[in-house]
Amino acid sequence: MTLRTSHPTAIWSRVLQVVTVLAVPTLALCATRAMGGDVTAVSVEAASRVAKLYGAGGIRGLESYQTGILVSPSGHILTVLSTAIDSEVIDCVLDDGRRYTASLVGADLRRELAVLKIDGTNLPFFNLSADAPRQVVGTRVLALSNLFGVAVGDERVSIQQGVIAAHVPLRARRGSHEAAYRGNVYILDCTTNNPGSPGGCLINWQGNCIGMLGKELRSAENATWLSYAIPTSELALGLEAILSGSNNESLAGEKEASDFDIRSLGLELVPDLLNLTPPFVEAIMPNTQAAEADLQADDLIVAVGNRTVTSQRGLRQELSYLIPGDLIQLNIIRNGRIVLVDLGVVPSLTEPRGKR
Amino acid sequence: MNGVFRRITYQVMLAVWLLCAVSVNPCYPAQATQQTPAERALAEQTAFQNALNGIADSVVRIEPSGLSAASLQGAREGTPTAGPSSGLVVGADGWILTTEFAVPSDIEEVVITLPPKKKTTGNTKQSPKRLVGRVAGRDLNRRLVLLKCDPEEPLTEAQFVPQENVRTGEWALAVGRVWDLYEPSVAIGIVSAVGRCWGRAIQTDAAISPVNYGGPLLNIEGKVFGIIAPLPAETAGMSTGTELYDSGVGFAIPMHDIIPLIPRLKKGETLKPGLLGIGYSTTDPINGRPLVEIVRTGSPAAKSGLKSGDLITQINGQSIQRIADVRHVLTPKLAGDAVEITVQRPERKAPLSIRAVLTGKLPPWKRSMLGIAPVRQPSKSNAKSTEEGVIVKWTWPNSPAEKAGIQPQDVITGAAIVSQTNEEDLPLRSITSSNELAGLLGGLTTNTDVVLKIRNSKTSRKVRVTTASFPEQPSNEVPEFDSTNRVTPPPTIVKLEIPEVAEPSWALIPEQQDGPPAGVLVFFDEPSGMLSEKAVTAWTSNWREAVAHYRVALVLVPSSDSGSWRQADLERVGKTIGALSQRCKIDPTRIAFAGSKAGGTFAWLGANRFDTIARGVCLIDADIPRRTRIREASPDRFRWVLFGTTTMEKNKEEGNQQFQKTMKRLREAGLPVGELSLGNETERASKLCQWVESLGVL
Repeated sequence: MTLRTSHPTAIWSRVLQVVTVLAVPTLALCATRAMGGDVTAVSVEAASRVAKLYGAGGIRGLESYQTGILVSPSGHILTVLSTAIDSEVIDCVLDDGRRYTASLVGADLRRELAVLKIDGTNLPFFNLSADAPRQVVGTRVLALSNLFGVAVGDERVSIQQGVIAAHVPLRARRGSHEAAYRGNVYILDCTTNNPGSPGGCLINWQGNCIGMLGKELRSAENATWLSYAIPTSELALGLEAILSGSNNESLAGEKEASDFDIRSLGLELVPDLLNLTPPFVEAIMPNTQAAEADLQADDLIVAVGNRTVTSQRGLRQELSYLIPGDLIQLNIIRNGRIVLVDLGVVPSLTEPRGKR
Repeated sequence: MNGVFRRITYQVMLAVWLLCAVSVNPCYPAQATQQTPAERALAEQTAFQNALNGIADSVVRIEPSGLSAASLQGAREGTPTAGPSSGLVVGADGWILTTEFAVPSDIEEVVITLPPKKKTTGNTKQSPKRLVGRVAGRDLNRRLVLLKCDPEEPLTEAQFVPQENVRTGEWALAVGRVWDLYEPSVAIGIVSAVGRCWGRAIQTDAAISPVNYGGPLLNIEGKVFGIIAPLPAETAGMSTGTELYDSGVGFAIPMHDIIPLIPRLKKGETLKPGLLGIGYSTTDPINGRPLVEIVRTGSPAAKSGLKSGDLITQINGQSIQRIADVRHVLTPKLAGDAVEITVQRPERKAPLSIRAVLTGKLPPWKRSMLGIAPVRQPSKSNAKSTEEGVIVKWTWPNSPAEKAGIQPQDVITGAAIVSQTNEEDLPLRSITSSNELAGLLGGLTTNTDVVLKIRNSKTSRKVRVTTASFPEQPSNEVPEFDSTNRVTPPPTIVKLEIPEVAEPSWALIPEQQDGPPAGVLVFFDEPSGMLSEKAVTAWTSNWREAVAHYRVALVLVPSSDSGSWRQADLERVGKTIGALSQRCKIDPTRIAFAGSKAGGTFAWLGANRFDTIARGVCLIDADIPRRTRIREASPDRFRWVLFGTTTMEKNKEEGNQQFQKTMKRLREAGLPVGELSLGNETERASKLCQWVESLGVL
């Protein structure tokens, strides 16, 4: 709306733009208010489609408030599934101060998303598309969220700026548990892992919604806190699944798949007696891919590809993420030296495993 | 429709504009004045992405891939200690620079993942090449490691930013290759400061963490400012540097400092921080005057002829006003570097120029003594002391001073160290405070001859004394304080409140009227949480006599948790001592930490944390943590360690063995270690307060 009101004479400006494009690009001064990249304009526009959510929660260490994105004119709100919205009464406050009571429509356990509904009509909203283009690394972004709950009533949500640092599959932990969602996320270079931020809206400087801020999680690699957002294409799929009620993908199936039969590669590890038994090779079976790769007894497996493993359980789990046909690269410690071993590809004789 | 059309128009327009702006002058601000903020924002975004693409082929991923002590330690208190990080190509034939985070000191080999090949046939991504890299050389001063690997094809080297173009406020892009093997990651900020970490680092507000340690910090043109490294900001109490990850404070080692060192690292050298071997006796190690007090025997400073009492005015032509200036110039220097030091020496008009070659390791130092316990002086008034010289309070039994006939009430007014060349006609340095005498003697080892000028009520004479080893066992002949006949007034209990701390500390302090400053004993009992005044009164009842007689302020620090001592409790100890100094005059040379059982171990950690404050630490029925690092003794963090036992029967055989091992380790580090049998509470109080007085023996 802001975009339009600032240009009453649309035809004029169109003409002007064409002229300026053809003639002198750097003189295109008068047309720029509406152009993407104006932080004020695009963030004001986006903030009207972001809701502050207040639930019960309040359990020690868990916040009772977060953020959500309006995704339909009739009041559907997409947010992250958390204890904050696991509540009888969820209060929802829009940026004009209007207050609603929201009800839970449904949840996507795999993506850890939830849809709420408020009673509204003609509300501003973001139309999420499953075909939303992937944003490249280095794209400037704005993150809008109920950060620390500082915005109250009709105050606009808080805005942080940064860039997309990386686009990678999420590998994260909440406490000692692995996070359920393993799809791609945008890693951000600004700190968005704060109370109130989950469910916040990530936009680029053109004002498009490109993702939703995730939960407060730590990296599974080095225990640092993660600032990440789930891309819009994935949000759209989650939204569709929840609204159509087709969201019957269960979590259990994936978790059980994490057991990989290491013997199928032709090697046997030392007996796994402890919780953290190191993956020492006990024996190599002749005429197997392990034997062919010259793996040896007493080798210590320390990584699968670029993923460090410290226990047999960890090794099995890492191997389970590979799919038949994937190349298995191991880092071995042999007589105190690192040796890189290509073990060939994952055999396809076992049933399909969980995707990475 | 209108909106869609307009959007397309904009995109075309933007593309044309960018083409003009970027191709004419890739350094973006070219036509800044004619750009709108929106255009500039997007032009900047394009520049970020171009810079990132330009560096991509020079950034590698590094995994320790082995067990190091650091990785076993795990992520303690949210501080990452190990894990994959990044590296930068500095030689096309396989030279990669990274940091100690990726390659801790006990790791010699790592796995390097090279950038993916530009174009591969077909649509499938080819796995990036992985190679084993070996450590070639290390720069321990900047925590950098040079690796060598053997790539099949030459690697791509990056371009560097010259020193004059490293300026505060420039865009800074922090690049790493941990998240994704196929595409580097980027975080964006600005250059926040230059010359940080005592002249070793560029500071940036871009998000710095293990994902980009070892990676390059770029300017907006994609040239490298420096290598991102987890340098510790000692002034902020940081020890590993990783505490600051993603905090808005990050560091990079400038390329202009690294490049000259690369040939030495390639040759396999281990570059060590350059040490001079001087110390200052001031309460302010940052702003204090650069007046040399301590000169360590056998150090580059001693060899070059620096003397206690010299005031440093210039180093390598740079003007020096404060101790911080000395640090700024010397910290970036390496062992083997020569420095030109200009000093002003008392009793000499012209400045003196001295050349010293820095060393990587100072000769071992163990505290020595003459056996003089000076009358206590407060910390600050010494500069304007009206009294000439140092008054002897008492002498250590059988010490060189006692044997030389030095008596209580003697006044030391001058001193000099005897070296071979100046046997006769030694120029004595006049001594006006115990601080000065402590400084002069501080760097000496045993068997050094010192000439003292001594005055008493009748005569003035010169005495030659030879330093002896510092005692390990406390003396039980420490005289009580009040030599007059008046009755010692009783001590009082005061509450020491610190902002933002819920549990106040308490202190039992000796009477304050015109007495000399008090020694300090900070006591950590077994953790019990908040302490009430009633509990403190009961606890200190057996200490009242000793506190009054030996003038020692007894500080009781509560634990914030009733079941354990925590790191956070440690941080408040410094502030507690600060709060105490507001309530009572204290003698900074006589501060000790003590504790019982869990509190004893905590006292050790406290003494480590405040190693320039705590001169003694006493562990009662406790041992130091097994994995604790014991730093080598040095004059600026001297510590006398006592192990107290309350029970008569010795510990179990096994425990005793462990204990002997601890004592051996401490002695090897050059620390005096004593054992003290403590009987009942009153005896414990008396012995510990006497020991606090003994800490000031010179």
